[in-house]
Amino acid sequence: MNEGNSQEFSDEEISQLFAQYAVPLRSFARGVLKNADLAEEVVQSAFVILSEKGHDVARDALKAWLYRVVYNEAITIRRRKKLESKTAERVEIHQPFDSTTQTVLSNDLVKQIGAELELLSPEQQIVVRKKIYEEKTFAAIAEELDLPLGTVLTRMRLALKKLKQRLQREMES
Amino acid sequence: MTQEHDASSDKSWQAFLYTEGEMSAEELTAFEARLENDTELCEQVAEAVILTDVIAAASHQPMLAKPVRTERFAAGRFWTSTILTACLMVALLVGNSLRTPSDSQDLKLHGHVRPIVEENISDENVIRLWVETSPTTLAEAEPFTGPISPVEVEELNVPDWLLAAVQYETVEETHEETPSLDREEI
Repeated sequence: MNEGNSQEFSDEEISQLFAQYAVPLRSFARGVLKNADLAEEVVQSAFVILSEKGHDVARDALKAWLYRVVYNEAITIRRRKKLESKTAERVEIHQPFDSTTQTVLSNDLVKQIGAELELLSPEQQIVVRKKIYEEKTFAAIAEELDLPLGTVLTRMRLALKKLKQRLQREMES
Repeated sequence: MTQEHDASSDKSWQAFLYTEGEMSAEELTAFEARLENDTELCEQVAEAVILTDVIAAASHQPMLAKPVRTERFAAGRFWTSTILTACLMVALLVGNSLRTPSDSQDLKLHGHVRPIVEENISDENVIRLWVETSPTTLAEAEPFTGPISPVEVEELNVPDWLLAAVQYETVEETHEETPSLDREEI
């Protein structure tokens, strides 16, 4: 990578940065847009901007800059979509993820998280599966299980904490 | 350190609520305003998306048939089969007891109930049955075979009730033969 802030990135550097940040940036964009295709479009745009205007970016702030660009691009797309059709916005924004648009995941990672799921208490497992697999709202889950909303949220939060710790361990290893 | 951990945990939870569309309009606006300048929060959103994907994929795995539940199911099947077997045995015993002749017709030997089929029994068979199952005979003598001589019967000390039963049957047989002949003649 070039030293200093006024030098442009080479193609090789751009490729390296893409390999390093594309997955988390794409995931972040999906979190904002709830659409995998638009998320991919946003990330591509961010790296085009990096290649064109990257010489202005401080190297130690590169990650923050990339996230900000992706976020701004995502918000711009959302606004455009909102103008195009309010109905389309309701469909595409803030909807649960479509399983067909999921990130390509390694089998090992999925197995490890699956094993961790099995270690959760049955009460937590039910909430996790209803939320993520059956894509129900917390309010619907609470009503279905005849539990206070706070109890459902607590169970989900504790379960997510354990699963996330396992995910981080697996990704580090 | 703990406060940092709590803050990170809280960010992670907020990110999950955001990606799952579980925020109110006000919360959403406030959260997105933070996203613009908080890189850590952006990373938490990315992690929440990946974690959700992995959990969803893991939920598709066939291994979700829990071993614990399998054991419970197996235990349930064991108990079900045990109860069914017990019920079957009780039904057989009840059925058998209903089919068993009354006490007067039973020959109770050493706690075992052996119904006697009246038509096929002879004096000799009754005595042989008694001899075979007599406590002294079982303990000391060899299995009884062949015809029984009167001397042997005396030595065996046959109880009176048994002799009476044998005599009674013999008398009955002679009585049955005579009237039937009479009826045929008439």
